[in-house]
Amino acid sequence: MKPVVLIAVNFVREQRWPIFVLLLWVLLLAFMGLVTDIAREREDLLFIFKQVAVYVVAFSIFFGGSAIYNERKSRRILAVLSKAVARQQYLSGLILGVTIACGIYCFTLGLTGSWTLGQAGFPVSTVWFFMACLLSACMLAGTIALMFSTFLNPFFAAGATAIVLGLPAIASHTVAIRWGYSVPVYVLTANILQASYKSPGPLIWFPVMLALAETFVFWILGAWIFSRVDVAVAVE
Amino acid sequence: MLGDPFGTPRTRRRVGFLAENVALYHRRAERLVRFYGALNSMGGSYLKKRAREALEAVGLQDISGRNVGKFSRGMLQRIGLAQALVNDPELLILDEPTSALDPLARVAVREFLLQARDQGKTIFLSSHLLSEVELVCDRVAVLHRGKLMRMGKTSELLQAGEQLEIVARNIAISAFAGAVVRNGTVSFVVPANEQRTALGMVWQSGGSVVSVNPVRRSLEQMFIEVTSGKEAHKE
Repeated sequence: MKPVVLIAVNFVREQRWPIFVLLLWVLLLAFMGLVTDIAREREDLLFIFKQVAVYVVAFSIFFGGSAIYNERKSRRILAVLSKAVARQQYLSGLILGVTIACGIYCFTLGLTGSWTLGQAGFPVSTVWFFMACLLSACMLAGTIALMFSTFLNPFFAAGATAIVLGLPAIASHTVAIRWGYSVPVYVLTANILQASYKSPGPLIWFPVMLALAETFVFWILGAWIFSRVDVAVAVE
Repeated sequence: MLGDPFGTPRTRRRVGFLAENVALYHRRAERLVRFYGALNSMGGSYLKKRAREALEAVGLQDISGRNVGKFSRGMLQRIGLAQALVNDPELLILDEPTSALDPLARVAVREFLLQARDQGKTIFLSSHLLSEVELVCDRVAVLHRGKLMRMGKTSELLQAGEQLEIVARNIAISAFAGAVVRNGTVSFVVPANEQRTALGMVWQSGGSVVSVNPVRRSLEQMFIEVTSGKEAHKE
């Protein structure tokens, strides 16, 4: 477990500037709460909250899709994997790192959202439920991107992840709504996007649990593929 | 490897590895070495002690608080060695450990390797700097185009096969083909099977033998002979 935590913390440390830039978006929401008339601008606040919330899913894909590539390109991966670190531990560390990075964002967004939306009359418990949805969506999206990045370059890994996440969304609209649950990132983010002051949405934990279970499956698949990859070969 | 299956984390805990063109995270030197030690499940006061010892071994103890991102190439190579040493490995695998180092740093690394060898560590060294290899390795393997061409003790491989150098006094230089005068003595090279005849000729001409030694070649010469021999064979 120790190497997993070390790799995760190291990942967050290496990504501290992108995380900081991401947090500026959250500060925008806090700034809106400070300078606007919350009662009058409450719809705008909710709109910004939703928008800022969904960004993190995209960033989790970029974090996950580029993590292994960056380490291979810089050749730093060689020193790490020469230690007593199994490939699945390395992958777990990166997934945990992506989760922590997104968790920092979600937690900050939860705080500012609770403060601004809470004043506007939105249930604070729902704000935190949304953060749980968002974090589980990030975990799953990041793990899928990481899985693809074990054998694809970041650009194609992000594209492949977008397809895997997008197809269930399309199927849920065109075939049957239950298809959205096959890879529930869309369902989880749609929960947030469809929320309103009148109808904040039900607190249903099933998609969150499903996302965690699928994260585990994609982790196994990614670890299996990664254990067969020669990391000493230079990447383009 | 080391009695365990190759490449398992358990085996790697007993191995130190330094890659060519070492790339490490930009952290303070001591923290970095501790990070790599912790990846080997080391911890607590033992890890701190080992990190300090590893930094001392490579002569970086005075700048252990400096960020590795500001290190020169030679210092990077040495911090790379420190991270490979932190777990007190039984086996060290080093890929081009002295490449791109200045002469002083090269000597420091060489001395360190000899010291590690004397401590009983096995060092697997891969290098194109054959003069360095010749100075530090007990055994050498020559790889050419992915094939093992020659392997053995360095001292044996450097002997030029069946040739001997005879150094004698009071003989005419013209009596032996290829003879040269050096510090008042005449030296010449003969095939080993002609040793008796050559020595007899020295004595018959009233000369005295100073020394008879197998001719040593450099590792570079041996490498060229082995690899060009392969080329000739292929053609």
